[in-house]
Amino acid sequence: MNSQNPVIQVDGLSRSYRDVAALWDVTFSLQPNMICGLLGRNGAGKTTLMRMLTGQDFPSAGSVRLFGENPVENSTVLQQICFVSEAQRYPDGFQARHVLAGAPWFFADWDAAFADDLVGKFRLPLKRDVKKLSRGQQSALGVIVGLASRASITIFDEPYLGLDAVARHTFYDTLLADYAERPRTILLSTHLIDEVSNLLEHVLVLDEGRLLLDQSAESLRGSAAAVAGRAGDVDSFVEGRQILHRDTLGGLATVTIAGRLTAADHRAATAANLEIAPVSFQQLIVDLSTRSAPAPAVASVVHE
Amino acid sequence: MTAISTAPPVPRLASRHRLVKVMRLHLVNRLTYVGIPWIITGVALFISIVVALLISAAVPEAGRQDALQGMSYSWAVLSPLWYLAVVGVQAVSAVFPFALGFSITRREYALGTLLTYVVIAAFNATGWAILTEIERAINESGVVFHHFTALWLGEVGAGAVWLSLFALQILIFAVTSAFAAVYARWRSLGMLVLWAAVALLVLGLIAFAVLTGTAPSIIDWLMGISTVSFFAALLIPAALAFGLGWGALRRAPLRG
Repeated sequence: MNSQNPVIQVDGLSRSYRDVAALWDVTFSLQPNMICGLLGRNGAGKTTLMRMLTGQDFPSAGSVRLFGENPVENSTVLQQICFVSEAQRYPDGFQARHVLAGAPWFFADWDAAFADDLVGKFRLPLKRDVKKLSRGQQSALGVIVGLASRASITIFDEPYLGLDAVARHTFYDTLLADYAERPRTILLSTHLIDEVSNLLEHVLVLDEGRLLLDQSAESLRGSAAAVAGRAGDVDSFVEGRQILHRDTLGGLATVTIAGRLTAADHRAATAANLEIAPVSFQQLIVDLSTRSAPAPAVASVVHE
Repeated sequence: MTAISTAPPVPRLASRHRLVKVMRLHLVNRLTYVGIPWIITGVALFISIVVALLISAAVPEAGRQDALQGMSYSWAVLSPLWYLAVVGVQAVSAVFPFALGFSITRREYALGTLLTYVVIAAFNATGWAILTEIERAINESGVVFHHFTALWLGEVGAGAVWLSLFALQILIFAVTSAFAAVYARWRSLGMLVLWAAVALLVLGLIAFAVLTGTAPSIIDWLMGISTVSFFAALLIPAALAFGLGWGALRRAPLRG
């Protein structure tokens, strides 16, 4: 981690709707110029968190600071943010060209040529009522606004809904290429974890409103391993280790364990005829969020 | 975090500039604010002309002038105003969430929307007032036809015509937007409370007038008010409605 001031600083953030806690005591900070994934199951609180980051919703407790300031009704801060919501509503009769015509008035770094280029790439019809566009085309419009805004903090809430595989990869490739040229802070919520795992530099995982994980993607990648082999051999190998997940098929078992394996561990595994494989991001997140153990214990183990 | 932060101060000029941008955003699709009201005006005028021709064809020469004079009771001139109620609701239900997506603050949205309402109402009122004057000139030349010069609009001067149409539009915009804002903030419970409050207020005023025996003098007073004062006074409830709308919107969460 570098020592720059964080662009996003969230402290003890909670949001409850009547008796339901959508978000509970979430604390994290993000350094500038990174692509961060916000992962979690449906209803984990991802959208709620994003709405409070962008001043669209109000915390029940705790605070949000963007560039060191409260984003609520703060024009100076908000002008540096672009939030692309999957639930974005458009006025009746609005066409994509109206949206793209209005965007440069509010995003100082808007790149119209880039937007035009993306319209071609995503084959977005400009002169059709936005409400009549397909789900994928509406997502493409959001993606175009988010990318072409070139905002210092760009937040995408499940931007891929309805996009086909080609369009999704166009999005990932364009995002990465543009980010390489113009680094900025990008926060991306998604369910398609494996698809974006190569994009992410940092990962936040929410589960039932709590922050389960706040870790660099690099350290997360090596933080677990899957051990496969005969059930008895596997069990004796993993004894005393933090088990994240266990699958058995006949006499064979695959166990996902937390923590880095040492060279000695690898030799022992080979000797015991066990196979060690890296765990995919997606598998790791699934294992973490389906565990019944209390969340903080898991997070602390994985942090080591 | 209790109060809405106003720091750091945005330079005044930049802030004013952003209000104009919000207005441009409202008007980026010109059909909504300008196109449809004037299409309705055109269609209503066409219908009035057809009605006038039918009257001329059906009524014998002797009574024709009188019959045509009856068109001055037509409400057709006000028909575009009812559509503005839809615009006022949509400005909040659809443009507001869209504006927040463009990183516009609630305050900028509210003031920019007010600016839009004032500019549009002035534009429409000017157009309709000019047409009223044209129709008055036509009437003076001997052709009896009343579309724009109907109701009170045929009896007052151009300034009063402009003011009355302007004030009516502002009132419709403000009241419908306030209702939409209350709905955005408190949903159906808010609607229930607001309608009940409006009903109680009206009921209370009537009860006051009846029980204190002041009803006849109030009616006399209302009848005595000049057109200009009456319509100028409509700007007061409009301002109250706008204040109510802003109070609701400033903490209204966005829902998906």
